[in-house]
Amino acid sequence: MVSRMHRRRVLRDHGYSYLFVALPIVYFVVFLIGPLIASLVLSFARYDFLSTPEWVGLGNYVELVHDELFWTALGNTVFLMMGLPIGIALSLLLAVAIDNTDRFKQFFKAVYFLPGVCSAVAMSVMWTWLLSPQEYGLLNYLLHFARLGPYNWIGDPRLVKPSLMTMGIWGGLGWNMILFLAGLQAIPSDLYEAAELDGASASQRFFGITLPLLTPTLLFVVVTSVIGAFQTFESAYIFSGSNALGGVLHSALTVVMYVYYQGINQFNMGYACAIAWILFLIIMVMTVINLKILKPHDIY
Amino acid sequence: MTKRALWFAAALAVLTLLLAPIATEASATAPAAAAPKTTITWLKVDAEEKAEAWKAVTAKWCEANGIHLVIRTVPWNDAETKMLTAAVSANPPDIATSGNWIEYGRKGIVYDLTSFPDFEEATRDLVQQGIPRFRGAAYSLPTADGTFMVMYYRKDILKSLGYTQFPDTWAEFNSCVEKMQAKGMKGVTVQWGNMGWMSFAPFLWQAGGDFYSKDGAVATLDTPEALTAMKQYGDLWLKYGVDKGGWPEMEKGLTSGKIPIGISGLWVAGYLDQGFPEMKGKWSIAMMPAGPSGRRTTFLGGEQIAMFKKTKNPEAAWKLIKYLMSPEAQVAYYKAMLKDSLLLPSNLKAWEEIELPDPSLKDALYRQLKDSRGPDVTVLSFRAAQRYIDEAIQKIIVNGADPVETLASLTATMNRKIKEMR
Repeated sequence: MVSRMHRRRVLRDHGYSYLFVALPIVYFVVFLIGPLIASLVLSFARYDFLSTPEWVGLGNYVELVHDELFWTALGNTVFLMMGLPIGIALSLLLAVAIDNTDRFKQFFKAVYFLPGVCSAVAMSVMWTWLLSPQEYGLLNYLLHFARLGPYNWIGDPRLVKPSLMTMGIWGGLGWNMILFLAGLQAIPSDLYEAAELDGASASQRFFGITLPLLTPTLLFVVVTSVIGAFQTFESAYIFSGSNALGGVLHSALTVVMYVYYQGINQFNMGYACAIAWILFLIIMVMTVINLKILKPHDIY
Repeated sequence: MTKRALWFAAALAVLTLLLAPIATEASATAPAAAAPKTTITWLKVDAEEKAEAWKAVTAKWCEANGIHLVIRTVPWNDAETKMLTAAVSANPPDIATSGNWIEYGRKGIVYDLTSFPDFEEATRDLVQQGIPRFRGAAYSLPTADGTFMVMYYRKDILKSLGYTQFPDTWAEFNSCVEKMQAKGMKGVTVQWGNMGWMSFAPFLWQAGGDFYSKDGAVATLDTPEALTAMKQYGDLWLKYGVDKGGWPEMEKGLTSGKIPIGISGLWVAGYLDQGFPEMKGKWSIAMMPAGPSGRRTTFLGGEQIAMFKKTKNPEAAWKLIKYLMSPEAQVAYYKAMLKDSLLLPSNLKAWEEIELPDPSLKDALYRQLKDSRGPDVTVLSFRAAQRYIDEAIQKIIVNGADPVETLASLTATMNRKIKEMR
């Protein structure tokens, strides 16, 4: 009786809060949780949108293991991730440099952050112009002064992945830099002062104070960058000339592009869902590994 | 803030969000309710300005026929997704334009237009090879937004090499490119469908070959004709150094004169003069050179219009489709779009009334349209096979694979796909 009265009072006093959160929860369930469950169920079915799904059990997953193109896509995606350490190191370097700059700090922040606010599609189109074959692309035009090239940066299967990687590094630089800058500002300055009094060199201060205390930020940057790299789509799609299979000999095919190709282009929605769930599992495993390696609680 | 105010704010937020769609729906349908007209919704791929042009073209006709036409546009790269969502929705648009409707037709999502008694009469003057037929059914018709593959070339450069007209045959074409390369030019490029089935198709047809046998039962890419086509097509890259992959900048190549010949879609003609004013009067369009079969067949692409089975007004929708296919509407649309783009009518009768910016092109374009073909959408496994054809072409050109072995293996794969589809 008391508990019922208590519940009623809580509802009367705080009921409006439930009303406020009701709509986001409905949205979350209908547009996120619902499709998520549906995609899991569909991954065990053959489904082409237009007919009733047909249960195939683990059929899609078994097919996936033998699907050469899936492994090509996964290989390409992992290859693109090799640019992440370079990108993260450069962002950190930039953040430290800007943090130690007295003049034009805001200007540099804004300039480097700019690619982060532009649409990925617009940036990719711009890069296809820069990397255009012959002397029509800016890069080839500049290289011809050094009597180099011209190179087919996008059409040559050997060059398209490094080109995509370079664009990825450039695109993610500003965003990661801002995160590192925020992390740097949270490090108490007295630690540096004490280290300086003890005669620590700049590199000792960086590796002894900055880097360890930036570990939580580094962990966040690594995890989000790995997830982002696994989800590469727009840039690879545009670099492939809007070919869902990654252009010449699938050299720019990524896993998400393959999901798109199977689901939307070939109407194999069940199979596409299976690929998406395998991708989810890979990302989850990678995240767990990252968390284990970079354990922030060991430092504090 | 007092508790009462918080309750009020929460309730208002919920109400606003719940009622917003209803309010939008009401305002959207209000004009239709005021005038007793049949509303026909057209989900159209491509740019908004084309929808605006169609609206202007059809305004009078719609008024006279009591139709309230609503056109919603979706970009090409999002077309498949939107058409699929429309197909499974409870309330799809009445008509829609996209690339391929065979799958939708087979599943009973769109009308077999031959079921309308006046179908033959209404489509008699349309470019017939642009109407995909599947076991006697026609699920869609080619609109006036169609396009096909042509040869762009620099008249002045060809003239300086002694050509008074564009090369007529493959042999003449090859010799022309060689002459250009001897003068230090790059020669030729392929923009649309670079190293893919789409740009290979014309060469295959010109050689007298095809992707499948006439009944669609077996793939025929291991034939001598296919091999001849692959040799000519592959040589563009292997012998003449066409840029591999992507979307080569044909326009800049034409402008600089380094690449005096380019293969691309008709749409390029719409913006060459505006985008590259220095090219005015220097370029032209030619039919594809004839292959060993004597044919100059090219690839025909573009929009196909279909009618959803769930439409509540099939008669009005069919009437509108017929009007969109009529010479009157297509000529008006051609004129309306001419300032931005060169979009040619799919109704051959409409050709009698249109004037091209360069009248000398009319004959070549008309003959090329008549000698054009769409993709083999009627062979159900073709959609899945396209990827293997692309791979084979690229293996031959990029990896130097043996054409005979590669085409034999490709044919076996395509035959396997045919069986899987059965």
